[in-house]
Amino acid sequence: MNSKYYLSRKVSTETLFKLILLIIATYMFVKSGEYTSRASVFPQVISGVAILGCILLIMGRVLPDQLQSLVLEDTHLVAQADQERMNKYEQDLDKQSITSEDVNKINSFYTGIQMGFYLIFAYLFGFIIATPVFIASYVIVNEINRLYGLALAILSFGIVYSFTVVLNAPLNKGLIYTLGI
Amino acid sequence: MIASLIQALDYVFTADALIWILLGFIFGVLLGAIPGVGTAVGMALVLPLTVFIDGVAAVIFLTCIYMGGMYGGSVSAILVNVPGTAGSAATTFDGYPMSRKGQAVTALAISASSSAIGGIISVIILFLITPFIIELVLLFNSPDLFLIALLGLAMITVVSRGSIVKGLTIGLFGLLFSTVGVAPTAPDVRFNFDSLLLYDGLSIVAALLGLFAISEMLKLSAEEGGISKNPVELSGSIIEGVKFTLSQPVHIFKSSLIGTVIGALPGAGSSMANFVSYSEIMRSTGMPDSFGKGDKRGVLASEASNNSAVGGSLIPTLSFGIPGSASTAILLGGFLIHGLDPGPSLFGSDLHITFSIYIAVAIGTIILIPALGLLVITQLGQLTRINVELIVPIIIVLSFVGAYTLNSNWIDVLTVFIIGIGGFYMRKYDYSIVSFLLGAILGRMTEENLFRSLQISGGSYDIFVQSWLSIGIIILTILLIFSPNIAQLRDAK
Repeated sequence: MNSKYYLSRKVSTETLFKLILLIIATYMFVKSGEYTSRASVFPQVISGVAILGCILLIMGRVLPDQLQSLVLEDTHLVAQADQERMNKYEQDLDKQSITSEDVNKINSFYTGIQMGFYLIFAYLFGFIIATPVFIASYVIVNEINRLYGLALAILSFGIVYSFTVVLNAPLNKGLIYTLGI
Repeated sequence: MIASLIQALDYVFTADALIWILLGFIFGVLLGAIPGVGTAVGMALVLPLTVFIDGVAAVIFLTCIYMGGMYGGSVSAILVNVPGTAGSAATTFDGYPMSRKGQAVTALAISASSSAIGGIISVIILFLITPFIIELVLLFNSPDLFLIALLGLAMITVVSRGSIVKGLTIGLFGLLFSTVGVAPTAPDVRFNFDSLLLYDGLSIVAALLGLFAISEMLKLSAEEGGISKNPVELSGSIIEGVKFTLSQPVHIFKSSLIGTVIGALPGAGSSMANFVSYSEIMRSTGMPDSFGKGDKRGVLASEASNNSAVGGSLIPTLSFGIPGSASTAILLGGFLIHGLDPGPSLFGSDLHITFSIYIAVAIGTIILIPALGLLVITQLGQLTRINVELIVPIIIVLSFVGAYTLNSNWIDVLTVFIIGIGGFYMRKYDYSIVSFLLGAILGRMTEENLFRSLQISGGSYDIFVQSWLSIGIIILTILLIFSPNIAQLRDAK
């Protein structure tokens, strides 16, 4: 994958993130108007300023130079030498810990998707059943040694079971099935 | 004050409290030593479980995890060149070269002893300045407390690196997060989508779990394999390390002082403290070339400063409810879920709680860090070999299950998930998650103080410029927001 393609993807997902923030702030600004003045002043003022912030961030690249530097550039109050040392260190650490940019994105994405399914499953069948299923899918997707996977499943089931029994949490209850304990 | 101190001593020297102190430090050291997990994740995970214990014990437990984790972070920094916590980053510069020279145990011993001394110096400073803090917090009324919340938000935005507009904007979203549910100033229920599940608003614990546990696990799942690729040879001398630390009283005192002061700046935290302290020791020794190649003083400066930064960060957290770091934000969450009011009351009617925290940290730093650090030094290397792939699913399960256990409310679980995904992108695009969290934590207090101020003044905003204290805070906030521009102009000249 070439760097230009990557840059464009990065820019687009970041812009999407900013747009979501803008939508949330706009919704809260408009919705605040429905409440009594005592309850509406604070969220309306805050969301109003947040809208302004989001617009500045979205329009950052087309703003005049002076304003662009205020909106986009990093701040640093520590001495230049300390700042450079911190930046260099972080870059070195990134190089060390990240194996492949492609693998990273895919792994995070899959983990996010698995989490989503885990919650749906837990909502329907209860955490006590959904948890080992989530662990199994995680083990398969991440190609973890099956023995470790089994140990993880037992450990996680033990955690959920102990929460249910000791803390009396209804983790065995789902919308369509409840496991009797 | 003396009565509160005696009450605190009575409380801390009970079997229950001592067990929580011990557990907190052990848990903190273990978590801190595993790179990628860190203390903030650990504190967020245990936070929902602390509702089942006494409030003071819970905040002591959380504080001890924070303190223990700061030491634990040095283990992987020294042994595998990857800091367990951001506060141990500068420890890698000389700690890892020492390991490669066969002095890993010496470096770990320097780390344990300087962490302990740094921690105790910061606790002594805390005790010494408490009478002044008591006087100071009494000066603050509702308008000042509203302005101080804005100052805290501005300070975090500026001090933590990144774009100031990004920081402020995401901090405002934190404030908006707190507006969901019943308004503190009127009987309106806001942004609840007509659901009773949102009547009490969004859970701050769920936000903490999402921001620290889930977003961190999404990030970790992107990194492959274990942390330690090569076996670490643990050689060197514990006695030599301790002796060296004791032979450097000036350096250790200076580093501890730097750590305490920088730790007290909201947003700066131990990561900045250890870099500044490291730079200072390079400058003051006059031998900068020897650093980065295994100079013991580098490890000493970094470790003394990061542990003392813990003490420093407690100052704004306890006195004004403004967290100095991610971990203190979670600590603040601990206060809130136990109905304890962080802020002026902790230096008034609840002073015994503040003293209990100080004493717990003192016990831990004097006894537990040296004991845990020095006695089990040869076993610590094992922790760095834990494969993060195996940790990720367990932490995900604990986060969701912990959130659900708190109130059996699916909105909490959904909040963990959504804020977790959002937090992942915040980290990715350099939005300060501490800013967001500060807004979420301070939101209610800020709105209440704004409303109370306007009620006193009959709706006039003049109340915010009627005292010198308020004017001073406003000027400081403006200066702070524009300080990066001032710094840029100065650099340009």
